[in-house]
Amino acid sequence: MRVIKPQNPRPQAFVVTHRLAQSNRKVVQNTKVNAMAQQNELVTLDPRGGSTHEDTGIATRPASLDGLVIGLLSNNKPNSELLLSDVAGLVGEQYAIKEIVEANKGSHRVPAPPEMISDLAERCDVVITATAE
Amino acid sequence: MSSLTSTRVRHTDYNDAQEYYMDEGMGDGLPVVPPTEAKVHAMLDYVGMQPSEVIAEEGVRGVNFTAEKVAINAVMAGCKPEYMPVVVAAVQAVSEEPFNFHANSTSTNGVGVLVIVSGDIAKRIGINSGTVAMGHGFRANATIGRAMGLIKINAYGSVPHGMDKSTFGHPGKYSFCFAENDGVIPWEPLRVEKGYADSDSTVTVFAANSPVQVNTQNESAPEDFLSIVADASIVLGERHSEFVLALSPELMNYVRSAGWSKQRIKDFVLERGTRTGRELNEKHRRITLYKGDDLDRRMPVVSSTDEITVVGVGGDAGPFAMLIGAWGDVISITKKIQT
Repeated sequence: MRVIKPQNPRPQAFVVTHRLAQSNRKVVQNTKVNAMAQQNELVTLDPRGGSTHEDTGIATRPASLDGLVIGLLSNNKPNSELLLSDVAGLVGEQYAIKEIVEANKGSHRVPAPPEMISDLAERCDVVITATAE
Repeated sequence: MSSLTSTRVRHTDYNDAQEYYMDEGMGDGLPVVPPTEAKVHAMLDYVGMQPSEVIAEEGVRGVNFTAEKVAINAVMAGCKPEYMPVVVAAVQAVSEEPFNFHANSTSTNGVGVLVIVSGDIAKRIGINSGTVAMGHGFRANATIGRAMGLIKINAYGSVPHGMDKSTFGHPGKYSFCFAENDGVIPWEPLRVEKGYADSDSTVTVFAANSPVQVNTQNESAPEDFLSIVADASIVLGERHSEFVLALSPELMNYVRSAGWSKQRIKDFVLERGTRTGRELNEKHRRITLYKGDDLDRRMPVVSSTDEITVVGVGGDAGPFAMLIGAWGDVISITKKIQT
């Protein structure tokens, strides 16, 4: 099969869509369209969609946690706070942590409230999240 | 009509197209109907939509379900154009925030999208509500349900082993769609219960676990067979936000004869389908979950009768009920089908 370039410029949403679609799957190589279409050839459409969210990538990692404020974000699974507490303890043994900020988003089934994300972003240098049944 | 903007792929023949969609993971493992421009346009023409029209916006992943992508997936599922209004309404329904589509598309719980259609459109387009209503053999049931599965995979990105982390999954993730049987229910249909006119047609979507069939053989008094149903509801376990109780026409006859209302059935099943906090502690890993007065308090499977949906469906013969649990923190959504 061959991928055919759309004749018209793609809308921005389409470009985002395609980038996301490719992220999980093998990229289809673009080749020239065979002008001499055979009788049994057929042209079909890609069913994949994508997100309108901006792809912000991964935040820059600090070289050291010394002197930094560490956030612990629980998803409220039964043992997530226990796990986070242990992780914070291990981190504290290796680095001079300035402060620990604890947050619990209330349920693993819903995103953290935007104000909680904003608060953590404002107060913390690094946030650790965890899930544990 | 404006042009389709999706990437075109040229195939040497029909089989080449099948292999392409399989290899690229753009499907559910079964062969698909190749989504050609002509077939996709036929879908869009039937509902009078432009390809770029946004049918619904899903907030968590920021996915806009365009008419084009929905139509492509509906074609792939094998839908006829006259099924498209049902698919459109179902896409609108799953995109509502209380349906929590992102979470139930990723969870280990492994739910599928159950589509229950209520209203005249079911007969007009051939959605089976009788014998084998939840099984195979009827194109409208099979392909509308399948379209929602493909939309979830392709348009939303819930790819198995990727975003879809179902521990088991279940066969309803391929397709799960049936219609309420107006002919057997002695009370208001689902569409009216949900606030729509009797003359409307609606879809109601659930984040559905696998159905559990309950055999109530030799019991014709509602108290007796609903006790069996209530007992069975306990096996759905905790963490369900809702469940569907589908009663066969034979059971419907019994409740009609006994003069039971839909609400009375819900009250009875909710009250009888309980375990004490002590029993739950003993049967679950979180052994200290219930304490004090809760140890002897009887805990229902769901918190209120508003979270039980009773529908009449199925073949004439058979004293069977079907229980379908819905994943936690999901509220079923009903939408009017625009016809």
